[in-house]
Amino acid sequence: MRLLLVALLAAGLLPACAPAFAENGTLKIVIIDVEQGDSALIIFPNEKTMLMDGGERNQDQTVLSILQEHGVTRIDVMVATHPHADHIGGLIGVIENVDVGQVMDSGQLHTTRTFEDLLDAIITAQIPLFSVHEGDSLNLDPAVELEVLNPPAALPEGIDDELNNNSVVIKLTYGEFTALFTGDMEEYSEQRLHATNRETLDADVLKADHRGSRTSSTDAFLHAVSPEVVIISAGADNTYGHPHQEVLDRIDAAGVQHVLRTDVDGAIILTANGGSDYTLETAESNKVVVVPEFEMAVLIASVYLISLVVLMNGGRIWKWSRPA
Amino acid sequence: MEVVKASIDRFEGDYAVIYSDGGTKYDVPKSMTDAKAGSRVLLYLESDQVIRVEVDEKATDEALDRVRKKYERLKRGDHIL
Repeated sequence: MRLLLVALLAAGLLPACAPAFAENGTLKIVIIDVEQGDSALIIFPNEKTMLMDGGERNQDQTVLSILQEHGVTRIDVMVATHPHADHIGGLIGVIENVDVGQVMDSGQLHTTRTFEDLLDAIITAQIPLFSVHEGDSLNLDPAVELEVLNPPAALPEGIDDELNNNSVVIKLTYGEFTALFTGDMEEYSEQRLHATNRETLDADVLKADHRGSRTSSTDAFLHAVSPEVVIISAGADNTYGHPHQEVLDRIDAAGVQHVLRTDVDGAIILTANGGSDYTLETAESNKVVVVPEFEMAVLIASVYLISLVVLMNGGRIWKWSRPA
Repeated sequence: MEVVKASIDRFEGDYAVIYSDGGTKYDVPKSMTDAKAGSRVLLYLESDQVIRVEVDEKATDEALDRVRKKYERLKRGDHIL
């Protein structure tokens, strides 16, 4: 097999797959199934960790189980994208049970008991709190760029769904791989980013804003991001009908190759090594998706053809024949 | 009838999503309240069903003031010994 791979590489048959064999570290993104809420764990190639949101308060054990499953004993950066309970609730239990280096938020306040309990938990654990905004970058791993695209430095007030629209939005770049995490931003912020950061929005993987609500994932935004994969976090049979059918239709119309959903697939685990290809595996539906599909198809076809040639030549890669 | 203290966390479609201070979540039809997200409210319950939502403006102001003070303390780093 080793000889075969060498032969394939030497023959130039695997140019698109070559990055898969590079010795880069692995970036892992786990979209945690917190039912009707959001939570994503990122483990960087240098083993630093980031947790973005934690679902509802009763989902803390789910998040803690995922941390344990992936051997995470410390969260270097915890991001509270915005103060709604379905995003920050589970963070409280995580803070109470795991060492957290720092918390980053959108700088927005809320009056719920959940929000106040989160502040109390941060105070008790003596964790530094920073607010981030457009133009900031997070330095967790020198190989991975984390750009904050939203909210703007001056938080817009009086807009519709203000807390959602001022969500922390982060673009992740690791070599050739890119992903966009959008919190619960809605049409207002999508349009703002489309106008101010259109080029930056382009990403391989889009974590859909607001669980696939019709108030988000507009046509123009989806076309600007032009993702290969869209991941939607939503609870099965949720009261609000997320993801809404019109959003699924818009995603389909935007030419997205794969849509994975926590309500259907369970937790979704993405691994990337900085090359153009990456893999997604799902916990409950046991799907394995290798992207880009074209490159995988080239790999399979190449292996098949070379194997055929070898078999036809009695085990030799090249058949030598003397001229008569 | 039971009365519980709560906050309107957000709106989702036709629902106001309200959390009691005890942590129970209620999806209440928007038509039952014209309050804004972030309002402190009193929920009137019968058989665990919300039958009335009453805005508590004093409690809203007090909660905002309390949260603002805690948040400013956090941003200053006064909680780190």
